[in-house]
Amino acid sequence: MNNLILLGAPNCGKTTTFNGLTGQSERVGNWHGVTTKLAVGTAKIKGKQYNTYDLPGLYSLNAVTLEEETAVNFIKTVSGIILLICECAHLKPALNLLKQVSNINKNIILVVNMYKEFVKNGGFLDVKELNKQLGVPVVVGEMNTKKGIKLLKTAIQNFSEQTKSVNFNLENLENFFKNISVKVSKLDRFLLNNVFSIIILVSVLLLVFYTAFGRCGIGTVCSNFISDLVLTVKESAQNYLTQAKVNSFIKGLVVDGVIDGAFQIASFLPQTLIFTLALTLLELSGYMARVAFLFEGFLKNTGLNGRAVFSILSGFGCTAVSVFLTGGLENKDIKKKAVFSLTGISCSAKIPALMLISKSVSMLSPFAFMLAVYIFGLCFTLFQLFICDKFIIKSKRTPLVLEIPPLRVPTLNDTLKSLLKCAKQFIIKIGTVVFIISILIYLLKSVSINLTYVNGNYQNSVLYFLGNAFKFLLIPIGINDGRITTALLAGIFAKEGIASVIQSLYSGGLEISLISAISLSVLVYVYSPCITAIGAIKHELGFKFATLIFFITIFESLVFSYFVYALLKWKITLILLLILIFLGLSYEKFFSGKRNKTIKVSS
Amino acid sequence: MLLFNCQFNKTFVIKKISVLDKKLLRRLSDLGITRGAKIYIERASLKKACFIVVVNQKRVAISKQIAMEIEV
Repeated sequence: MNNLILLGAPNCGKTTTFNGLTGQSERVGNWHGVTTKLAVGTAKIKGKQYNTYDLPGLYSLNAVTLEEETAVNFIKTVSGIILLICECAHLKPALNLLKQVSNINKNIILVVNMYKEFVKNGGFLDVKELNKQLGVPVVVGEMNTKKGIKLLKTAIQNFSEQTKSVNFNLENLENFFKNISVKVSKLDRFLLNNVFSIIILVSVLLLVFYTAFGRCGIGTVCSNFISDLVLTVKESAQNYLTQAKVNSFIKGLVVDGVIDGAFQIASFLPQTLIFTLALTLLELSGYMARVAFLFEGFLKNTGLNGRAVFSILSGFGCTAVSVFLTGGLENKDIKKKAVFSLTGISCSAKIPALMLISKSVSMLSPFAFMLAVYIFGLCFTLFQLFICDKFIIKSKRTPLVLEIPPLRVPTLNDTLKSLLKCAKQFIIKIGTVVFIISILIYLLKSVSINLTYVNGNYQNSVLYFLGNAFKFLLIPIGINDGRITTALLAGIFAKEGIASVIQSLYSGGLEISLISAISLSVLVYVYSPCITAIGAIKHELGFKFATLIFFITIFESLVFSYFVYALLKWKITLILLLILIFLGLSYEKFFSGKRNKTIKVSS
Repeated sequence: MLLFNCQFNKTFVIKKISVLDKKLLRRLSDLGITRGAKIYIERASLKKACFIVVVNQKRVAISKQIAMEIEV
């Protein structure tokens, strides 16, 4: 028996236990639906290796969602020791699950988690009696501590194969288990209040935005520091290479390609980390479930329920991760709608590009610019969802049923792990994809079609011809520069690539008008997700849907950016008139059938 | 009386659940929302679009659609 299978209700600490046993740092959160895929790791206990599997949460073996079906099928096919993890306060339903699971696999260790919190709130559990009554090993403790994991490892080490199913009468539970009454946190009175909740949400969003993008915010201060540091390195490298009489091509490759193109992007790391911190605190505290409750009514007209908020909010971090989170949704049509909406959410990788565009617009502060862009993005996402629900993917809306977890203070350990993971992924991306894009752009900028060195004569380079091939797409937004189309092409591979290319090709910053900058930021915001996100969509919903999303988002980004440019440049009434005509025609086409229905009245 | 029309901060006993979707019924059952269970209605969101109820030592958010299919 060298398999360990972690099983239990959602949000009981399975992934935390998995991380403790294997040393990995899988995503954790205080809400139902964090783990949507099977996670695999290796636990080493006293020299012996165990294949460890973390399953999505299950209430019972009667699977309801796609992720639960995955978990149930796994238990039925894979043998090993089942670690049934439960929250101490929810012991009774866990014992129901234990009985069901023991009919499939008798090798079970019951892990009773969050025991300290349970006792602190006035609960009582006689562990020895529970052990005696169930006939399976019981481990009680906190699985987010080293002590708890040590106890569990000891139990696994001493485990011997079981031959009998668990046959326990739940009515006897009251003899040695006294449960706690549900306590509503004082904070919940504000977080769930209809008026205060909106004020708190808006205030938190403004605080996060100001901290990241405000002139005196920590994000901007740290970003400027890193930017100055990179500039110093660039100047030093340039002086050194000039003195060493290095070939101008090599000098340009190091200074313009590597330092300016790739390293300069590192200056956006502080803003990305602030966004990640905000999302992490939202997830770990349990606030996400409360947002789902508040937005349930709002999402009613989009065909989704409050659960979609989890993937939408995660989309502000990374689109690929939020696509995987849609695994917790009820069926494929709802999943498609949620994924379609995610294309309207700007991931943190777009921040460098949007910030560079905002710098070209001196009339607006970066804080105001970014806030406006994100508000547009949210409105666009809702509009997209509405259109998708009414005209494209028509499916029956599933009502929300969601457990509201208690509010918890995020642990420093989990918060730091999440930030470190984000920083690591960002730096790895700079060191790999962005680095390759920077080198490639420099090479394409430095050689002509005949493969001769052009020495700064951009108009003769391969890049000039490549960019000009698609330049016509940006003429409707007042941009007649192929370098920006090159940047957008690079952004298909990694969104940080857009900023990297702009940085390489525009030494003095972007030179475009305010209206063009706003339209360009709309285009950057809306257009195709990166290759990684497209790969995630392909994995979840198939190649056809992923291809459709790719082309639809490019089309949408162009159309919306043209529309925004036209709206700002020309008279608004003309545009509104066109919209009204379009809506009128659409109404006639889609709803005229209903008017012609006759109602039969029985006599 | 439907749960949708009940007063807040009061406990009721569920008499009937008219949900037709079997999967949804199973999910409600997993969370303890079954006939005969005691249910405490804590609060509702704007326009009563979503309710928070306490049942079986758990706080559960249920949408208006479900609240209109539970009789207490």
